[in-house]
Amino acid sequence: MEKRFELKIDLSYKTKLLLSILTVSAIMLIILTLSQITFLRNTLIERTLIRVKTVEALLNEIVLDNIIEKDINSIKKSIVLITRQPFIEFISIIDNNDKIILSSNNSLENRINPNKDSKDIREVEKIFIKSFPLEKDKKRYGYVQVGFSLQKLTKDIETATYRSFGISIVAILLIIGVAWIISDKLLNPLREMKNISDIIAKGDFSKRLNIKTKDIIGELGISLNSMAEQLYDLTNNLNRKIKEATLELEESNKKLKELDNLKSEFVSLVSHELRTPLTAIIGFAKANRTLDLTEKQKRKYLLIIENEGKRLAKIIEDFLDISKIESGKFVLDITDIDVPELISEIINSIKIPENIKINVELSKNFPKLYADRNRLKQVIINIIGNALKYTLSGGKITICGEYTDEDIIISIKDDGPGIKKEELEKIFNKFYRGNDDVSSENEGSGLGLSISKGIIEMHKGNIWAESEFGKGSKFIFSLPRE
Amino acid sequence: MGNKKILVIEDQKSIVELLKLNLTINGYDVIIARDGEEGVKKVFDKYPDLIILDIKLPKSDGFQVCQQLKNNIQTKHIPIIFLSAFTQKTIVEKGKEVGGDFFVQKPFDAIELIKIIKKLL
Repeated sequence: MEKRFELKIDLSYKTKLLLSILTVSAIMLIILTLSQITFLRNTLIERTLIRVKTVEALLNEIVLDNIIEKDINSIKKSIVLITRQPFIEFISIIDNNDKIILSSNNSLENRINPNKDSKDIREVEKIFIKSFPLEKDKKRYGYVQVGFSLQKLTKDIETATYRSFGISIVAILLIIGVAWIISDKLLNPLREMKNISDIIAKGDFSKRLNIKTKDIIGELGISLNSMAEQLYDLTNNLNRKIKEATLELEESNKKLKELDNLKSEFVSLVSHELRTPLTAIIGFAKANRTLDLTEKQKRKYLLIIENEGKRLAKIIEDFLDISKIESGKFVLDITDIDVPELISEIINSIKIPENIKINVELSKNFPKLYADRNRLKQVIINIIGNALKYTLSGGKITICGEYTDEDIIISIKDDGPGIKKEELEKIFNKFYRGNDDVSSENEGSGLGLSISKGIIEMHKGNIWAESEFGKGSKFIFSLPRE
Repeated sequence: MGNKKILVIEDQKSIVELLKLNLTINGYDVIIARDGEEGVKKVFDKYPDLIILDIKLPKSDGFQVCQQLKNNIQTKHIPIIFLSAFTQKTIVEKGKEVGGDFFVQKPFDAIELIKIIKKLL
């Protein structure tokens, strides 16, 4: 397996920035310092060499004349005087035989000169020795050897070097400080961006960056802000849609639950309605079989069985009607109907107590109505049946037929006890029975009016009731002519 | 000692007839009420020994009647048999909750009903 060695140094961006600034400035400073030192050294050496030349000229002048006149004392005086200069180490006068005639260093006098001239001032550390010939008119009298002390020069160079390095160090410290502040300034907007990005990454898109500059950092900030904006809009949109969808689901779920409740309520009411007549039928059949009954009793109870059986059949028929209406499987058989004829047919077919009067009021030239004849008949019979139940003897029922350009309106009015306002809204509900004596006597299915409403609405018509309690009630339905 | 009095609170005529026949044959006096309010009134008028109570009634329903009678010190000892075509558990449980002594479902068996009455009296 190949093994890879990787040198990985984790440095912060700021450290990297500082290090690069530092490296560049250090290199610059080193170059600067070195060149400065070299320059200084050359200058100092140059100065020393000029001094050497000056001393040479001076000595030549002083010593030559005195040598010719053999004034040794004057030479000695001059040498001592010159030797007082701090940069002169020694001065020796030497004859052509290399014997020292005079020297600032007395111990050397009358000896063979032990000192050799230095070749290059740059290679000398302490004393730079140089000889100048003493010549006049092509006659050589000997030479002067001078020892120049380079201690001062070395010290000056050292001082200059130290100073240069010192300045460099101070400069580097200053650069670090300034770089620190500048990198902070440069990095701060990036840090802010990072913070905002972190917040965005956590799903909060509400924070925005404060843009201060128009450079690339500023542009990056603007991009970041617009990204956050878009994310904000997107998530808001999504959230809204999710919320809407959830609400819709909840709504439909609620509706389904309501429907389900209605359905089970309906089933339990159906079961209740079927059980009631069955109870009488089974009960009386058993009584007929097991009890010792008189002929009169038997006839009476058999009649109850017959009536309850018929009632059961009616209830089943009503249930089927209402379930067909509710499931939308109710099929209408539309024909053209002569309304006046239909009404008289109905009045002739039902049993009307003698002391109840039925009035029929129809507008002239009554138009044909297009509807399901049997179903319409069922509605009118149901309403008249209800009216008859509530009309006391001596009362009257008025059947009224009118028409407009669009509708045919039929109303059935009785002068019974009327319907309370709060009950008016409920009478068309399934299984609703009024809290009155007549309702309790009435042993119907409790579905008559809701079936009538269903039939009229399937014809795109309206049915409603008007009543003032105590003053009778009026059931009205309207059907479109077309 | 006269016959025991049984109050039948029931709105369905045919059921009233059926109960009347079966109770009379078994030697009980039968009082009839056709709605809840009339039922309560007749309890205080006649003080029956037992009540057969329908649930779906005009005016006040069987539960209300039962609660009213069981909360009254003068009438709470009177046994009440619910007789209803409702069969759901919740209705039966509510019958117990309001203080009913027995719950009989329609269609009922006359012999069974008489047995229950005898047990309660």
